[in-house]
Amino acid sequence: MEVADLEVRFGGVVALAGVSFSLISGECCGLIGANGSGKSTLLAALSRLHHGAERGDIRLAGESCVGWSPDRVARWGVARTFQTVRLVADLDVRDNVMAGVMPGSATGNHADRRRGPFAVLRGRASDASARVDEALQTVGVTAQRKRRPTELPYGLQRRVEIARAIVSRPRVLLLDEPTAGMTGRERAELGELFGRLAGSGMAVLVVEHDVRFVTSTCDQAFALDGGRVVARGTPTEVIASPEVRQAYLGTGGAGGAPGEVRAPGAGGAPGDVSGTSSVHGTGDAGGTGPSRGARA
Amino acid sequence: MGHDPVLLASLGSFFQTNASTVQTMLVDALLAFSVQICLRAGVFSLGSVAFWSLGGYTAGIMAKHGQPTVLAFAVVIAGAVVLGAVMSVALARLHGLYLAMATVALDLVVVVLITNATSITGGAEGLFAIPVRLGTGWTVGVVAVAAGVLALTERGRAGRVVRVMRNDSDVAAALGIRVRRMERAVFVGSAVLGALSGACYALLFSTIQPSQGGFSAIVTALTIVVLGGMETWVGGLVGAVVVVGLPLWATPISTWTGVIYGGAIIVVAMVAPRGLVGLVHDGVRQVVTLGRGRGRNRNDSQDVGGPASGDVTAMGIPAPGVPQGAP
Ligand SMILES: Nc1ncnc2c1ncn2[C@@H]1O[C@H](COP(=O)(O)OP(=O)(O)OP(=O)(O)O)[C@@H](O)[C@H]1O
Ligand SMILES: [Mg+2]
Repeated sequence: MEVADLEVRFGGVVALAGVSFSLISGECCGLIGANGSGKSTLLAALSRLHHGAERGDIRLAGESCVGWSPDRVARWGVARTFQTVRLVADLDVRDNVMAGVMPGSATGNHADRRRGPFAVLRGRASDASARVDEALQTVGVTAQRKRRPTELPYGLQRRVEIARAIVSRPRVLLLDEPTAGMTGRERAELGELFGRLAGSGMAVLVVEHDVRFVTSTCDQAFALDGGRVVARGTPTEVIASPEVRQAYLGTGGAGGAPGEVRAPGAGGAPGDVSGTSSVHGTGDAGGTGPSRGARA
Repeated sequence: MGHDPVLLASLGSFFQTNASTVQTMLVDALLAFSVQICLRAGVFSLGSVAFWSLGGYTAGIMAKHGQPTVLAFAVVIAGAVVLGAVMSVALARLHGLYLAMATVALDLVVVVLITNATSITGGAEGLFAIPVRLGTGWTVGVVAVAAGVLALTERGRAGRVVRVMRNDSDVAAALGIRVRRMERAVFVGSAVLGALSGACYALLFSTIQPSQGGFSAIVTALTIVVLGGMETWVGGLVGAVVVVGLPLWATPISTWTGVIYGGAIIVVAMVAPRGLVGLVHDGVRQVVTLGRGRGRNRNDSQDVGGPASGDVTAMGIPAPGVPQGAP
């Protein structure tokens, strides 16, 4: 998945001001940024679920998906979770995950179609069921599969949402603050899970406030501030970059991050940051981006 | 099942003396189904009421011209599919309250058109002397088929898809569900059910008036759906029996029918937002859970002790240090 010069605005608010990056299969990419920096908006744009005005391009394996419907993007293999858990309250946990099974993807390969319509149906049904159980197992909510989501603690609901997202084995997995409100041990578990998912060939994008989590889990990272990419590279580089430190410190250190920001990359050379947009700095966060001349 | 001759005989005589009541219930149940399938999928359309009038007049006029019943039904269904598909595309951009308003307007416009096309429709007086082509048996058959189709959409993958769509259409799309296409299909299905209800009415009762469609049909359909519940076709059927039956069986208090309706709707909306069927369903669930209650508590605590145990119960709380089970 490649994103080129993506701009999203809601009325006068520029939520994303020319964001470019790419996600690579097999890699877990971290996305950090202060509140309101445009992280969720970026995920909405990648899943084609936002309702703002937009410019720029998003390509899936080389093909532009800007004109696609959100369900088409999902069927291509872009799955996501939401910042606030969005499960269906009147379905139990297992059925919620089952809802993530896409008709076309359950068998995984088209060879099964040759065995006739009924074989496909049977095959799909049992295969789908097995996948759901596997997904529940993977995120560790097998014991709660018969419960209603609202009966579960928030952290487990998040896991259910992750199961629903991975059950159809997406090619791109977008996670919006999946570890919010979790304990250190659970973060570690999920971090390890995301690593495994990436290892299985997915391109994973994780929005995360905890920089320690990003350094331990992600292969790559980038930071947003005021809708711009202010740093990119390895997690250590990103965290060491002055823009990121400035953004986190400047906003009062959301989530107790400042202390952690300094630790991993202390003394790192700022010049190493290969972000193209870092020239804008953070001074014009939320502004209209005067340096972008070619606006229609 | 019950082969009790006394019961069968009394059922038989009941149907004879109350044939038109039962037929009205069936026709109204079909209309309720047509509204249910929309609401259940989160499509706030009342457009099927327009198709009720169109279907009723089409079937009535064809029967009056001596066309066979089968042909009349075929035309009604095909017409509803085509017109429903066109309308669903035209209304595709509307959602929620706006869609509800637009489809109510459509219902009223159809009534006006029918009223003014006097030469074909008999104007405000309506159509009379339509040959009676249906009996209770056939109508039961139509309702049974419709209920069967609805039942299929209530379970399995279809049932999940419908629930996800109603719950959150963005999530539905994010899960690869073709939301737009599903909404159009639901609209067309609703149009067909509405048109079938109207056609059955015209061919059962030999008459149809413009005033029976439009606003009064909207109110009837919504009353049935709210009282019975929109979750399953059973709700539509139960609602129709109650709404049609109540004023007839309660003749002594019939001047108060309107008040009783209004009161019943308010009470149901307050105590049983999922209708009578939802109320019964919840009641059964409650009893079952209570029954298993004590025996299950032990298992439950083991359940939570899954892979992520320990911290799990405290996970919703941001501060990890909070002792478990503190409150
Ligand atoms: N639907 C919308 N309409 C108007 N403005 C919006 C909308 N969605 C987002 N914004 C604005 O876009 C900016 C970016 O918001 P976004 O939710 O993407 O931030 P975020 O990085 O996810 O923040 P957080 O860490 O709080 O989740 C904010 O200024 C927000 O007010
Ligand atoms: Mg966000």
